[in-house]
Amino acid sequence: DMAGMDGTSTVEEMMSTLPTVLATAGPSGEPDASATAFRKNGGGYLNHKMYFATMSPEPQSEPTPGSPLAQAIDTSFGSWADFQEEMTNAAATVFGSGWAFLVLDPVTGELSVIQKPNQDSPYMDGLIPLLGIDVWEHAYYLLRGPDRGDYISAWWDVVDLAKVEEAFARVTAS
Amino acid sequence: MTFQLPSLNYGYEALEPHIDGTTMTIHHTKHHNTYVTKMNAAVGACPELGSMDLLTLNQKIGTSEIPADQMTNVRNNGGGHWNHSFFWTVLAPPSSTNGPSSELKAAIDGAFGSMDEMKSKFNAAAAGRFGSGWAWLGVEEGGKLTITSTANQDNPLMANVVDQACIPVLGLDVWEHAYYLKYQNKRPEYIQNFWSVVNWEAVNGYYAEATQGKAPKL
Repeated sequence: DMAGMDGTSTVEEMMSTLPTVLATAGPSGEPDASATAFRKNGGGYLNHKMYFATMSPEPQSEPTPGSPLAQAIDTSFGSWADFQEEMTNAAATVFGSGWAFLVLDPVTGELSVIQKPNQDSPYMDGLIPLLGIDVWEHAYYLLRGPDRGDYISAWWDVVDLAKVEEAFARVTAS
Repeated sequence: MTFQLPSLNYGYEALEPHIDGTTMTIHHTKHHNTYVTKMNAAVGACPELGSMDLLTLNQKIGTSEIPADQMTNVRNNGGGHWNHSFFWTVLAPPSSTNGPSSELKAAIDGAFGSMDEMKSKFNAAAAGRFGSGWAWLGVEEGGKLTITSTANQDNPLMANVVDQACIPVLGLDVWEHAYYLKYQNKRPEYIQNFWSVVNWEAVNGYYAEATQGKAPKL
């Protein structure tokens, strides 16, 4: 069974220890079933929690000029537009089900864009997700069919950078 | 070698109510067509790919016969083109679906206990494939029937990269685009309905060939 299930660890903490657990084969040669279940469901929980929290009907569409997040984006990507392009491209090119994330590396302080398959969480890589876009077909199919590109454009219209700035402040304070 | 989108043997609405006409239309004209377009682009960029037919390209995934920088491209798009070309042939309107041949039925009973047990196992593989992928009934080397699932556009012909290689005789697309418009997240209901539109005549033919070690001729 996964350690921390008794409430002594946060979901994020457990997710960061998951790769070690998955690498340990059980008696059948497969990783512990609860670890695999945690990967899917814990990942899905964290990913969707952040996704819904970072969208808004009346969003702040860009970072506050001069804010720590704005500066970090400029440092890591060159500019806000460069970041958007990279995030858009990452979201568009995920094959199958998955996500594109803006992540913070807590060791280097750098921001980057990564892709993850299925419901895998960046916490598994020791990275902290700040913003993510769900590109599983269920996220866009009913309204847009296969037009993932249109969905990604529409998503930018509801991304709320105020929430991302809040998250960035929280994770960089510790 | 130019890849082409194959036609269906039935109208887009013909599998109603089990698979809806809008899904069939989008699935064929958009999703499958994109795999065809991308495979032709791959051949344009890497002409040596054009010397292999679609089946061979699938079988050679994970080997040095496919240039390393084209591997993912061919796996995803060549896999997608083969999978969908195969899928359309194992579907038929509900009124014309017949049943397994006596040879196939005997093999199913032998491998799984009964038709119901085979379906149960297949349904579990289809429902349990997390994310995008396919469920398969196939013939292993040695002639035994097996059930497996693959991720994304992989298929069991890709012997070098999949857990369980076999010659497919029946397959089911469980990417969300295959069912979301009608079933939304109710994948198990889609899987149940699939059995009403299985083209057993085609499956019987694929089985007969597979027991001789031959892959489906599409």
